[in-house]
Amino acid sequence: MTREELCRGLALGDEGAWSRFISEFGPVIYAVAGRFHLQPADRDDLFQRACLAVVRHIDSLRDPSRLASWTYGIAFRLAIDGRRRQKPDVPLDDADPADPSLRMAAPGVLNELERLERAALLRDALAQIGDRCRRFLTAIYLEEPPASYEEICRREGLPLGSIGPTRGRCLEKLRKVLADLPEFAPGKDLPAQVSDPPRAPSTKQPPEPGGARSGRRGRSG
Amino acid sequence: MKQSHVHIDWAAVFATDDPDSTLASVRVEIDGCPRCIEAHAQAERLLADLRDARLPQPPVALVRDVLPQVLSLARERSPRPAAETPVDRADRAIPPEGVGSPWAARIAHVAREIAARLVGDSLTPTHALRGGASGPRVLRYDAGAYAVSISLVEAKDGVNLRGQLTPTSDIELPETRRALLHVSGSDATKDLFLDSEVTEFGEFRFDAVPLGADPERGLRVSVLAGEEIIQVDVKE
Repeated sequence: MTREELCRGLALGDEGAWSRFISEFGPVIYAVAGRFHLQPADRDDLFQRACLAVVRHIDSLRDPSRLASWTYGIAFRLAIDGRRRQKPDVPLDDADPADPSLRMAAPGVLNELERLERAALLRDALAQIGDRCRRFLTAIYLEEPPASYEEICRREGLPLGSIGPTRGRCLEKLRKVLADLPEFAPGKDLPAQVSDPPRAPSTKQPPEPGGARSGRRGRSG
Repeated sequence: MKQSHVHIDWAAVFATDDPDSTLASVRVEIDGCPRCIEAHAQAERLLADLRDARLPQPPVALVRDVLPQVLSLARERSPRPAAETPVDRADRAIPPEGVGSPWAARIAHVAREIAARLVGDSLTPTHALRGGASGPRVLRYDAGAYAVSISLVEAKDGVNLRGQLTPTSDIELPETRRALLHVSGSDATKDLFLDSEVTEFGEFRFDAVPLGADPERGLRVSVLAGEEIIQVDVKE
């Protein structure tokens, strides 16, 4: 299923498309809620609202290859709303992920959010390396709980000894795709771990629900 | 300082048992090549990003709550499914000679049809269905709330097809269950429809399915599960 087919399926309410969406991108949505330290009920509420927002706005997503980062942007904005409802006295600026109140609420949250955004971008990049490599790397690196090599080989019909070469080829494809993304360009530091002190406010914005690229340059295929 | 480019076979680096250690050992070889150092840093970051990207799934109970709402909203907003009634879908799924059969009676209340998606094949795609493989071919399909696995074993008079319907979450199989196999016809043969029970464990079977000499004959298994029909196209 290509990203275009997936987006079409989401818009039409196709159960298979939605199952795949929740399996691949649900963790990103849920993790955003977690990074904002929302209460469990609010976290569930955010997940629900984000999924419903995807239904309402999926037609406006101009570039299906950005589905993961677009979904991250939706979850991010809803999480800001959620924080506001939890602490209405704390002024939060929806458009500014570097708002100091976020750091007050959860030290390191910005770094964690940046890591999450990279996780979303990575999912977008995985969609560009062919279905088999996507499934393969997803099974090795992203599935939770992780699948065993034996299970992965069984699913993909591969002999056990071919795990290394297949991983090598697929990672190389992924490396080439990521090399074209400004977010993964050389010189762009990895965000620090959550235990690190908060960094200086960033000016980067999460992607618009309408699919706007917020000044990012396009990527090659 | 002399700067010389070093070719790095990244696929080979990533193919090793411990790509992180291999990368570290490669690093000492590329000191005189800024471009290589840059690419090396990207490769290190790629592995770090992949480690970071593993995130827990949302709770199953939450997904079970949210999914019906999302599907309902999407279908409300979408003009396409509204034009097709459950009766239309049921009619389409009933083979011409199946009208009035137990199968037809069971699918009278079908609410929706789901196209199952192939997610696993025990053989590589280049293997033909009857291409001399030693073990049975097992195909796994995802159909939202259910998974379907199908195995194909060569038999004297065709192929024995064994299938199993399993819920993907902690739910029971519905009371209403049935499986229908449609073997598409060719110039020389007619379409063939075979009907099977689905046991309480979700198992169904079709013995000695005649594929004849035409390897291109398609197999479609329709599995009725409650108010849903899961359509599984077995032939790739």
